[in-house]
Amino acid sequence: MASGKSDLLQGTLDLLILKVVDFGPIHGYAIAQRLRQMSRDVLQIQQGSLYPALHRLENRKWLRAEWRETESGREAKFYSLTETGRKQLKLEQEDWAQISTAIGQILRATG
Amino acid sequence: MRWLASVFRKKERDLDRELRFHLEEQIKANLARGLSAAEARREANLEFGGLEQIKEECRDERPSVWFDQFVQDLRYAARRLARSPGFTAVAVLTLAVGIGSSTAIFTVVNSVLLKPIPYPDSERLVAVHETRRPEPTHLPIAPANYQAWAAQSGEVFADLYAERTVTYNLSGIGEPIRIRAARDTERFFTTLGVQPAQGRAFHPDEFLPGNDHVVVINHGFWQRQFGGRPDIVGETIRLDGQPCTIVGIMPPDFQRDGGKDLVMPLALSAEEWKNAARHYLAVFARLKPGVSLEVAEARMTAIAGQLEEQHPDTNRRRGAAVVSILENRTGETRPLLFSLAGAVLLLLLIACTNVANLLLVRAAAREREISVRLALGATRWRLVRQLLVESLLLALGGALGGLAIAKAGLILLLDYLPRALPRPNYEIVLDGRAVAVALALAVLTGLGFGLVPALQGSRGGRLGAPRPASGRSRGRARRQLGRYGFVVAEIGLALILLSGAGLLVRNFAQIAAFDPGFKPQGVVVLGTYAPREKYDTPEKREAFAGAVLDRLRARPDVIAAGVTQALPLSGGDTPVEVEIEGRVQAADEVPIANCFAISSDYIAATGIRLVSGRVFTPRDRTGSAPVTIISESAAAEWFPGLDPIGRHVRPGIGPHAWSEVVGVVSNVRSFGGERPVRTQVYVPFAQIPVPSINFVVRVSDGAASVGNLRHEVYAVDGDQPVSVDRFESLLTRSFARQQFALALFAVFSAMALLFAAVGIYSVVAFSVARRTGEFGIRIALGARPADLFRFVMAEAGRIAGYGVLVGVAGTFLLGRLVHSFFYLTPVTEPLLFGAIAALLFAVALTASVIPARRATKINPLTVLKTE
Repeated sequence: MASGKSDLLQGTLDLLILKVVDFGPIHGYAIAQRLRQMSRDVLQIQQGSLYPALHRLENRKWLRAEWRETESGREAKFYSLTETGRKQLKLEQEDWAQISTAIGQILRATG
Repeated sequence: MRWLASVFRKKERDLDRELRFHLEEQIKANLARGLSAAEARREANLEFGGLEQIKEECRDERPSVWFDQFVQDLRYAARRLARSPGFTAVAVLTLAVGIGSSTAIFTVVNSVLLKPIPYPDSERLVAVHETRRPEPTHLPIAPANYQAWAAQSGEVFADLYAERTVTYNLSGIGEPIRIRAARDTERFFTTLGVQPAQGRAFHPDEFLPGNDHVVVINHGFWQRQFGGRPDIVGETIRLDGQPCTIVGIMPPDFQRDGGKDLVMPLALSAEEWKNAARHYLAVFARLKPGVSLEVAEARMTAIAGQLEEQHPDTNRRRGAAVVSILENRTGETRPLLFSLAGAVLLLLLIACTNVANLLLVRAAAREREISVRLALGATRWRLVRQLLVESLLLALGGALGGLAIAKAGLILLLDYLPRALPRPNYEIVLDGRAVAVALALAVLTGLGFGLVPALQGSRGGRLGAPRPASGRSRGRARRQLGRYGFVVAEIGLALILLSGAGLLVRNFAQIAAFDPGFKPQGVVVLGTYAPREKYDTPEKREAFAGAVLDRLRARPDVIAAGVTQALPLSGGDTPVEVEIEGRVQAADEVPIANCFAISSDYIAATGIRLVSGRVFTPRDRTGSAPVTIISESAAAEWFPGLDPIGRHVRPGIGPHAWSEVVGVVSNVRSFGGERPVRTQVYVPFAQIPVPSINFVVRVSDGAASVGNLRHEVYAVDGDQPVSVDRFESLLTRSFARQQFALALFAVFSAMALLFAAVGIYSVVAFSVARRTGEFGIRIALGARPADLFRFVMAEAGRIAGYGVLVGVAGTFLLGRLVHSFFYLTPVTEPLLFGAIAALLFAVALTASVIPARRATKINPLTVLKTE
């Protein structure tokens, strides 16, 4: 529901988050770090996009959240993937593959 | 409720913690990179962006508990309203008036028309009337008919009883006063399902003539007359001199219409029970379980039909009607109360349009703020919701204020006109239902008047450049309609309400101004009653009346004094059947007239006009030839085209002898001016000295205290209870209901007028404020202040004009509706409605003068500077 963002972008972010969470329970800050790391600093997700997305995914029951202690002893909200979330991740990965192939074909066309 | 709040708080805390955790981690990372503590924090914050906004967006994603959003909206709305106290006060006050009056009228309607009479299972209680085809009027019942009914109605009625109302002089304990008593047959207590709270009911043998000197008194009467004495049961009082024993006291909540103070057995002789010619009983019954009103009425009509066949001479055309006792008591006030309900709903609508208007104006002022919020990402739906919450909050405030107004209003009204309604005043109170209605109205109106302003206001305007100085923009016409639509509607509604009030005023003026046929001004009435114990012979009664009259006439402040058995317009006259010389009539077609026994000076005292012939003289007394005086309408009806003087009639009262008509007088209206004139017949008091003696005294202007007149009565008979009234107040009392309606309509109309004025003022004022730029430029270009004034007034005039047109159309439509649904003739009063429309127009223009003048004071320099 964030105005100004295209649906495409929003959907992609959801996909990335689901993928990261798939690796195991993780809190918001770490998700942002991971995404940056894994994209070699290309994708730097702002908190203003990340947290609304996390809450949205939790609302849709694709993520599950619980408060746990981190290694440093502080309490943080950890997200993990639900069964439906896992299925959604698979679906979206397939969609993404299709779309990116299609876009690639159009861009490669010479005339 | 509290756990919801704590859940909400927990969610907030979690959100806060989660985001702060992220922030802390960021700071830690920054520190690890080598930034100083202050820098680390600053950079982290910068990167984070707006904490509140992120929180808001997260909240938007999780609308699972809309309650937290609602609470948030509530707080926000409360803050905004508190920031503009003037607007809030006006809006809340307007709504309070609207909701308050609606609640008050609802309470009245509910308490009078809907609340069941407080007898056990009172929905099954009915009143049974006789009718005389083809008229639907309800008539009393003759004893013989009642006997037949009682015997044959077993399949529809579980119980029934007959009642007769009488008045007595009560003496013996406490002040001697005149009381009304109900004399009831045996099954009175079982039919109603009540028993005396103290003492006992009547024994079966007390219903025989001679044994019936027992009474059961009402609780209220016990308190008032006997001071609530604990040992009153067993005491003896005298009714018209006859000793009677008090055997019981009714429970406190036992209430009867007509204010009867006690109950006695109805003991008729066997002879009297066979009488089918005199109709004076009221009959009440309890329906058997499973029997409906319609079934009972069908059965009773069938019985009446049988009686008609069996006794054609006495029962011709007699039918029966069965109504619930609720309708019996309150049915007459239904049209009045419904019209009041309609009026108050109009007022509520007007109040709502007024507040909607105010909200629109306010929303237009907040355009910039809304646009900014929209640009920053708020959804339109969210904004609409917030504005609606604001409206609901205003409506709730209005409801609370309204309840206070309703309560105060009811108290005032019932104090001012205590006998206007047919239910005891203590039954008309604000109860839980009224509160629920007020709250429901609050929600409905809040949503109603808030919707359009919310939709409008959440659209926002264009940011950036302020309104172009020319003030013109595309879609101007549409926006004007939206902005002015409410005011136009408001003025229209006000016109409808005022038209209704105008009709009522005119109606009332007609009633009040009607010629009663005599002159009630300056007339004082002394009501007395000569009981049979003390005045057992006609001579004694005549002597008493004569002595008092002599004393009265001897007073210098008395112009004329006469005596009458019953007062005109009091309903206490006796309908009698009158035989006319030379006319042969079936027993059932004998004309009925109101008969009054009067003394010679009565005509002079009341100012009734003598049309022809003569009045009674002292020579018309017991033993001399019976004479009568008849009214004009009687003369026209009974002796059409002939001179009635010298002819004979036989009124069914007194000696039953043929009386010579010696005079004709002008008609006097009976029964409170609303019902048609019945013909009147007068007989000399001296020839038929009835016990009910009312002295009618015309006093000179400036007569000091009329209470002194009662001493003339006391001088003759110290034991005599006397009631003293000015005739005029007796008359106005009969209009209590119309006064009630008129008072309320007047208040509503005044409020509606005020609202309309406020509405148009605010619209015009805002329009002027908005266009200061435009006006400034106009002045700079050479326009004169007078031109601007005219320009603004013209706009106001257009709005008012549309409003009046809408109102006229509405009145016309409503008239048609009323006609088709209620079968009342639509009233077209072009003069009256035209006057009202003109009044409304004038008020609207007057209200616009102030903003118009403000327009003329615009200084073009100041305006151009701020652009």
